[in-house]
Amino acid sequence: MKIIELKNLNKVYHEGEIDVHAVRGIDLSFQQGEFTAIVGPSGSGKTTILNLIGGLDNPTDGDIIIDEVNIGNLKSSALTDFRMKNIGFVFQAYNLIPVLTAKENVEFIMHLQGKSKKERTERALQLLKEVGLSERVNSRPAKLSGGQQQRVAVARALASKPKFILADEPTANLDSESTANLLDIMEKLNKDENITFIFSTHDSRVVNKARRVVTVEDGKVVSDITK
Amino acid sequence: MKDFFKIAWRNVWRNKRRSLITMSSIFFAVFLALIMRSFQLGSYESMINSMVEMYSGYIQIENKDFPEDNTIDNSSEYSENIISKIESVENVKTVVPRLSSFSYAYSKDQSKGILFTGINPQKENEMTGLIKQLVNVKITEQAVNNIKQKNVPREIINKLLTIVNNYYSDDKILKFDLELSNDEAREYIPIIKKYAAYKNEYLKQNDKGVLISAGLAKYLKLDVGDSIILMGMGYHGVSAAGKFKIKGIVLLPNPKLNDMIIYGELNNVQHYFSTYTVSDDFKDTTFLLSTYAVNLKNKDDESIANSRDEIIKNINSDLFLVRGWKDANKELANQIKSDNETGVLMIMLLYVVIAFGVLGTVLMMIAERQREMGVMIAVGMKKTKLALIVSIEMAFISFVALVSGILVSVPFIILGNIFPIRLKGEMAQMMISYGFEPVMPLAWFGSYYTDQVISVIVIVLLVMIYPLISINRLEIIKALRG
Ligand SMILES: Nc1ncnc2c1ncn2[C@@H]1O[C@H](COP(=O)(O)OP(=O)(O)OP(=O)(O)O)[C@@H](O)[C@H]1O
Ligand SMILES: [Mg+2]
Repeated sequence: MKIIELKNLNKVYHEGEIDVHAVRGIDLSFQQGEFTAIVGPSGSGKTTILNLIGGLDNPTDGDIIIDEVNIGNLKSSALTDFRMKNIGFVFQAYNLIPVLTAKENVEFIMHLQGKSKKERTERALQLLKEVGLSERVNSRPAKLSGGQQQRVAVARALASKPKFILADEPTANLDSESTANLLDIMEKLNKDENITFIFSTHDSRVVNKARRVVTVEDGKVVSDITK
Repeated sequence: MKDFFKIAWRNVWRNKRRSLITMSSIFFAVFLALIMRSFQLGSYESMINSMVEMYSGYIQIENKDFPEDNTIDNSSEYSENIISKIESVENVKTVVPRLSSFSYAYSKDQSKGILFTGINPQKENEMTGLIKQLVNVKITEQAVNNIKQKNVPREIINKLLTIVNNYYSDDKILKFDLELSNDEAREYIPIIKKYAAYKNEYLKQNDKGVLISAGLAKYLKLDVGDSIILMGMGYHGVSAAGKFKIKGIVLLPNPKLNDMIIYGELNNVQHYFSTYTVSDDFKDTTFLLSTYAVNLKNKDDESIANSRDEIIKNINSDLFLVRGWKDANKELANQIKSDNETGVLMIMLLYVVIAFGVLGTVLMMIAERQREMGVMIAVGMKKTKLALIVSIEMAFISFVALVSGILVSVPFIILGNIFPIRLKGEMAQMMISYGFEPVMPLAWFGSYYTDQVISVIVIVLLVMIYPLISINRLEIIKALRG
């Protein structure tokens, strides 16, 4: 089932006098249950693409259709709601709200969704268990390692039961052991629970785990390989 | 909602030092503003008290020519009928008739210009508390010698010797002048009062005696039981002269009056000055007076104006001029007004400085949290909710600061109100020369408290505009990139 469709997507940033064409006419679609890496050299447009899919940025031209909704037509506040209900995010670093514990961070989105306290607590504990952090549920982010923080971020991204999870270089700040660990968790979630992951990366070890690899260069897709 | 409070609460404490500095700057602003304001209002109250409440009244009724030419010739009719017309106004508390004019007082070896004032003893006491101002202690050498025998510490005796010939009507002032601690006061003041007691009598109806003010008694070296000779000019050039027995000495809070006033019973003084007119058929005598001083129950400007209008309507005579105290006492009213404006300006400046300080911390806080705010909005938190959290934080900080500023000020206000600071030295001298009691009391709690609360709320709301706008304008992409 197709859940994301990008049609002739373009993004131009205006940097003073100069126009930076970060995304140049991309057509792509993603299916439910994918485990996809977006790769490419620095400045090629990976982050821009993920931000556009995630509704964090507006395209200069083209359409983004998620589950039959053209998110370009949504107003800012409706778009925020849409993100909350449909998309999970994992950023490169500092994902978490520093004043909340791991558990509270995971509960945060469910709270925005208006879930009951019981449901929130149960699900948060369950998710933290899945990412192997049952022992650290009451720790604040500053007390967790980078890898543990990213695992909490994955748990949080899952909490809202999103249609897919976007992760922009989730392992960039991690050592190889933490990287492997995070990837294993993501892969397991993808296999066992059919969670869709779309992530960007520089790291060849991460690329190797992906089942589909989309390569971008200079704002264009240069290859799209499904293993 | 509860969770927003939780996040806000933890945010407040994540940078403890900054929050505490912000709180303490608001706290000090509130505290200083309250104390400054209380001092100011308190000193106005004390001025108004010693000039208006305790003497001239909130409304003065006089002969229409009296303000321009305040001689005895411009006296006006005194009658029970007029008094009851004034008293029939709901807001009127007391009506005090007075006849007042200058004369010379002679004792054995001194003379001095004085103000001879005829009063209704009972009504005058209702208004000015004159009975309480009767001297009950006079420190004489004889008294000090007696006190010496009674195991009173040497220091206190020495201090007593420095205040020989002083009069006291209030233990608090005696305690203050002798610099006694509470315990000392409890132990020694009764002894001092026993040996330095001063016997006085207040004026009765139709009394022929007089009360003289303490400053004057000291100057003329007169005591109760002595006689005093007064001479002056009476009504329409009639000469006035009389010998009066001194029944009491009064210590007046108004230092100017304390050096010059002699009180007599109204009728007695009317006869002294010959202030009465006789009808053509010699059947009716109309007595005259200078002023009806009127005290009111409600003393705000509006009530004064309304009461004044009602009095004018009731008296219904164009021979009288009815004025509120601000009209009758323009100098004092203007002095208070301009001083008050300066004070308000000072407080506004204080608040502006604090407002910029608070704005600074809020801006720093917003800048520091760009990234996490970006994350929060990215994962689906509405900007309005984020703004709510920041608002709760600021509200909490300012609420704590405001409440503690108010609470800490409370004991100061209570103490400073009950035990006003008595000025000494030049400052006191200056106040006395302006005719005020040299005290700096703090005003009791009042609307100036609500003013500060409102000011702080307004400032916080103003300061909040910027961060709320910047949250509203926050671009997720930029915020996430840090
Ligand atoms: N907000 C912005 N304003 C101006 N130019 C931008 C902005 N964001 C990205 N760009 C430019 O757009 C191009 C694509 O950037 P993008 O961040 O998408 O690349 P990337 O593939 O994610 O790179 P990296 O691997 O370094 O993260 C770059 O040239 C970048 O300078
Ligand atoms: Mg990038």
